[in-house]
Amino acid sequence: MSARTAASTAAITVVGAGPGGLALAGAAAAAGADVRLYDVAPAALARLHPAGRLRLTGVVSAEVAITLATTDPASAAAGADLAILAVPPAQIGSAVRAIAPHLPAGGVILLAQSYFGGALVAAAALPDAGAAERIAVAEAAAFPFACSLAQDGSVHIAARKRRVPVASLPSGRTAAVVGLISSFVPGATASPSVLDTSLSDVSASIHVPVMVANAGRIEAGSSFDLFAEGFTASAAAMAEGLDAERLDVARAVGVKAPSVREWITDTYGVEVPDMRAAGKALAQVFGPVPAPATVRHRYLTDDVPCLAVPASELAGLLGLRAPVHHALIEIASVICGEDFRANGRNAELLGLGGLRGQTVDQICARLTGGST
Amino acid sequence: MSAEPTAVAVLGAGNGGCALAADLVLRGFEVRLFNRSPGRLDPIRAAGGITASGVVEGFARPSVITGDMAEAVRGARLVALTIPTAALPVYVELLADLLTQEQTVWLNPGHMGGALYLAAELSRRGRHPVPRICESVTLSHSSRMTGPASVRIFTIVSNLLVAALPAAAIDDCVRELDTLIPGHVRPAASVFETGLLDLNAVEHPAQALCNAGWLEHTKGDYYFYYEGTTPAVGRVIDAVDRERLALAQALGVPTMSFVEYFHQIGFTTAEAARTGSSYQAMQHSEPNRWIKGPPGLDHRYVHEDVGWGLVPWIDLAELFDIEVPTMRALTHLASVMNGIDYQADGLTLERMGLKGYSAASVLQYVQNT
Repeated sequence: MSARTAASTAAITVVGAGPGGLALAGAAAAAGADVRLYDVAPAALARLHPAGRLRLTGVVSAEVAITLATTDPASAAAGADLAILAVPPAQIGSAVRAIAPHLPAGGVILLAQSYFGGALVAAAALPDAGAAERIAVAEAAAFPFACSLAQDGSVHIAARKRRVPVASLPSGRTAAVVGLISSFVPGATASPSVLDTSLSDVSASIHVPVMVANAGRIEAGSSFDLFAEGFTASAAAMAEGLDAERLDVARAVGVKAPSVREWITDTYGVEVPDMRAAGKALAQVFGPVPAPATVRHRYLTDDVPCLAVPASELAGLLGLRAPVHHALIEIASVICGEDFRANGRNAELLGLGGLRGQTVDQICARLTGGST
Repeated sequence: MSAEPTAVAVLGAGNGGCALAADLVLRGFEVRLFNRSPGRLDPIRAAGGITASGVVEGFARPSVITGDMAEAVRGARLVALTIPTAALPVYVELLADLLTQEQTVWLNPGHMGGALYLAAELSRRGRHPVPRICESVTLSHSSRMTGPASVRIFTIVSNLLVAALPAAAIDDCVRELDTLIPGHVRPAASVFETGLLDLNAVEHPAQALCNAGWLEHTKGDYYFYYEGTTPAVGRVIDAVDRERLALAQALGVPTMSFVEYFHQIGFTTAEAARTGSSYQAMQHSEPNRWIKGPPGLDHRYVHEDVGWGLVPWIDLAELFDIEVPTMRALTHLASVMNGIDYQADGLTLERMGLKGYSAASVLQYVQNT
């Protein structure tokens, strides 16, 4: 990485021009960074106003200039201190292969929405990109904003998370990454390792139960608010069970991860007396969240294979039972018509295949890029 | 009808019990009608009997209308139970000391494992030998109460599949039921054939759990089968059904797919059945079309159809080495949602009297007991 570490002068490449990528690019530019936006799809970049102008509303209100918006990874990555990936989890590998060869030596790739083990998945793609030694990877436990794209092409940032744990793989670069993003992700916090960030992602507990408990209603096209109306007693009971199992896994590997309720309070400053109240709290933070139009929505198609599956596989390696994970993975797979365990971040994919019967330290070392 | 009048005890004076009692009285049998709660009986007692309409017409006067089970059961040749699964443990408790070796018990219907459970409970109480028990796959009389002492009988099921425990006693049971409702009864291979055709356990858990939010948020105010069985929910039903078919094959009993059976009993069109999809079957189910949902998950669709439907299937599947991941997942989610450990509290192998048996000896047991 270059000597420039203050975000106001940093060169940052944002990969992915969806609502999240645009919000990151806009927020970084508003903080004074030199921002380049890259997407494989010209149509996504066309959302930018001519001359790279981008308007932000909500908690960040600004009209900013993006230095470069391009489908050419070489020009997007040249000289960048940091590349932030805001792409769906299935595209992490291809995004790394596209962007890593063009980053300067010492550059870092940060996954803004990593899910469980995102940094491991990204690191596994580095050798293909000929960048194994030159480039480091890092991941955030949660996307820094709750945001959406408005009809007029502006980006609405409804809420900024107060706490966004970040860790690099291996952990040596964490402080530098936090330094590069803290001006536009003020909640960025150094986390001990990627195992901490991976196990601190509460999305599956929030999304998967409410989607399964409302699968029929979603497909029937009944219009309802996913969190205010769909997060009923049964959804809350499953969320509580799923969350407790994640916390068991975290405890077993020595990670202090927040519960869903603690996370909502830490992140949005809203008190959540019990899991039943979580739906109302989220509705309060996000405003209306219309139920998705299909069950094949990222709340299932990303959260199940990339969070629930790896958590349950790790539980299995550690000799823990995770029956709520198993049951939800099974039913979500049937609902979506896809075997999420086979297609997801299973033990094999995370490089844990040969570790059955190994010690907790050996398993953790594999997941954090450390050595035993 | 047999030459000597035969007293029949009908236990449970709901829709099915009143219909059966009225039909049998009008066919010339002496019928004793029992119900646990007096609320159902008082109006019938006041009227002196039941007014039947529909496929059977007339005023039917039972010889006894009672809240005392002994009065109904003593001396009766056949004891018919027309009760929901959930009531079975209480009835067994009351019946255990009353039944004699000469009597035949008819569980109408048996749901999954009703006869096995009754036999196990009687045997656990030292009742050897256990009386002959048979079970029908559904209620014999499809009916609705049209008043406190009147019942409309829509149909008497034809080809009513009946199993005996032990299966070796099937000829005697069929002969006996045939004296009551001649021409309506068809013998099943064993109680596994009738038990594996428990359609409620195939559809209701998926329909309730994958719509738990909808049920709870609207108190069931949508068309439970028609709107609630979307393609995704249908896939869950189909997955449960594939596991059930594999189990039936391992148990060596004939069966048919959910949609096939659903069509056979007149609940969906032939065209929908040919697709093999539960979603299509529900889209084209006239009888179910306008039925709304229960107010929440504290309901027999979960308590009975998971605890006394999926749980005994899961336990048998384990014994016969059949993988049933969808049944297991639904059972676990139901347990989490309702805070009830269905796998422990439901109809386990132990409650069916099959604990400790090998797969081969289970098959032997249902044949010969």
